Amino acid sequence: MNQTTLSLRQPGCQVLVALFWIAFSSVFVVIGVTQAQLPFTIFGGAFMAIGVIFLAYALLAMLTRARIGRPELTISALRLRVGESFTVSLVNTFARSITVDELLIQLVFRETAVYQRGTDTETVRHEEIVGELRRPGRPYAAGHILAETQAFQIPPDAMHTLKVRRNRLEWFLRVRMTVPRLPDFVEERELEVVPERVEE
Amino acid sequence: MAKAELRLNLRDTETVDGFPLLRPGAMLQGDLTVIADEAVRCKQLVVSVGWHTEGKGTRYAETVGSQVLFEGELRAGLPAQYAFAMPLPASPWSYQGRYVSIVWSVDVKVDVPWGRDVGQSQPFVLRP
Repeated sequence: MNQTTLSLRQPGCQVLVALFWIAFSSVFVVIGVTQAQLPFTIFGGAFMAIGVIFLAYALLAMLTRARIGRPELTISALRLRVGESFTVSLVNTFARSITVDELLIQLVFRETAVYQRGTDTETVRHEEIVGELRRPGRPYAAGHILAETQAFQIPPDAMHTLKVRRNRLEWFLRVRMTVPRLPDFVEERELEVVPERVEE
Repeated sequence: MAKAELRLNLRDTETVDGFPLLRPGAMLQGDLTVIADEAVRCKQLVVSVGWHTEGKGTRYAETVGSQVLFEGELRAGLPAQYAFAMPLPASPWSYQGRYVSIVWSVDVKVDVPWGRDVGQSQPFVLRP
């Protein structure tokens, strides 16, 4: 079987973005304070506050990941035909003790459209949850193993993956672990659905 | 201003929701009848097949094939019929979503020098 195992982890680039945002905003605050320019101080201060909130969220998300560990998602095939069934296995060894409220593994079909409105570039998305594994959570101690396997199917009347300029039709597997008082652990892995139909 | 009636007919197709249904990789076959109201010099009579996106996103279009059916003068009131055939690709399939739709069509254009071009479009569905 042509299966693929992926280590689910996300770089902490959110923290870097937040730090850059704060540093950039602080320039306006410094100018406002040193030159007694109230609008600069207010404007820069508001932006800095947004950056601090973003940084706090990013750090909490990193904390969630540090406690959960690095889940491994094994997919029987990343390249699928329309109508094809496949299995997904999730294995995670928890790095630290944590309570997981709920585990979700979803097969998602997503439309993304990008367009211009004046000088702004807008993006709209629409998702359909095509398949789902939902498990109630429980407390896990450090070193405990979570293992789940689920079969999914790309529906026989579904659309294949398509990516052209400013219009995308994509398939994803999404893993979500809800953790109380912390941001959810969310990871997505793209599946390529080719324009071929499984023979019945 | 020259006017011409264009009758585009796709052959050997099924129908879905009132549109001709063609299979990926199949041969698109059809014929075009042109009846000009008056004699008109036609730089090119072109038939092309392609698809484009519709919906919220910025339009994207691709032409997958085209044929020049005629060059010369179309005579007034005299129906002229042209057959065409073009292979269709395997994808993308027709799709109608909330923000993105994929629409296939056969387009005919009479390129009139120094005049307004005359055209017609026939949408069809490409799905297995």
